[in-house]
Amino acid sequence: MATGNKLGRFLGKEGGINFETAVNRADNAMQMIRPEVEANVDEVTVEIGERVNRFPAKPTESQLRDLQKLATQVAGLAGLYDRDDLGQAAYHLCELLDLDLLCGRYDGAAVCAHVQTMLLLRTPDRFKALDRVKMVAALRSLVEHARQRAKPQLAALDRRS
Amino acid sequence: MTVTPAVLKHNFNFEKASVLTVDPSQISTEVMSLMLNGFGFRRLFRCANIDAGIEVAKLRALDLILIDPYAFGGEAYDFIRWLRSEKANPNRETPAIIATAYTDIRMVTNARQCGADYVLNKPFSTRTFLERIIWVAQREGRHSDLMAPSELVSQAGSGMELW
Repeated sequence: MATGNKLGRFLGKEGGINFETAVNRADNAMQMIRPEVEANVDEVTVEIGERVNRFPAKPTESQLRDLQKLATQVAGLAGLYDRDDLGQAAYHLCELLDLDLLCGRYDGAAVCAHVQTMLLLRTPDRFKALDRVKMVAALRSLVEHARQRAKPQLAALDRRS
Repeated sequence: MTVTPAVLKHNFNFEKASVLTVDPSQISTEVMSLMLNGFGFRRLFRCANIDAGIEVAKLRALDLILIDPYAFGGEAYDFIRWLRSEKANPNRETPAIIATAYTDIRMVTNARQCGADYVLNKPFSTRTFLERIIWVAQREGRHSDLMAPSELVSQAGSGMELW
């Protein structure tokens, strides 16, 4: 099915720019939006906390999916400006919610641990770098525990795909 | 991760390339647009939902499609599948990159098989993003069946790179 590639015709063009120039221009442009992105990450993190506080004992699938969408936003943006730990915590929350949804259960304590950690990580200088790494590692182990519990469902999913 | 010499040696001019972005998040769209502008892209069609993306794909000749499926679930993958299946559509062979922070475990196979050229983890650096764009630009119109060279696959990041 080799039919060529439309985007490829823009490579090797006279009068164009090189890789390093393009990266530098984009990096400079990215600084313009930094305050806006950081404020957005902060707002969404707070909203995640508020939503979980309002959850009933057994939240619906729709509520969990909406929470996962918010966590995905944080996971996608936080690491852009040196907030990798917050982004990773949000990513682990996405994983945990996915596993909970797959198993049809809600591990409220584990979700709260993620959300509280995210709220703590909102302030970048509150903890030393090594402590932040340990906090994220603790969440990773909670997700691993959930993955072990979801083994039968994950195996069934594998068979289907 | 290092930049390959093959990537570094190319000059490029994306000024006349048309890009469709489909992402419900306004701030994510802004971030991606700024990066694309820095790379020299000027013709951006920014859509917040799949239906708007389909309309643009029907009416415009596109050179690159970027889509974040997080809010759309299976619909996002169906969009790319639809694009690849439309024999009369001029965008049938347009490179498509899925840019996402998290892929639902039920959607991993879908993401692999929908016909996208690459699944890229968010957040990504400008360097990584441009490397992927150039990588898909260099491909020969084949989708979902090639492995990215190992030097282009990030071992860091919070998520996973499927290619």
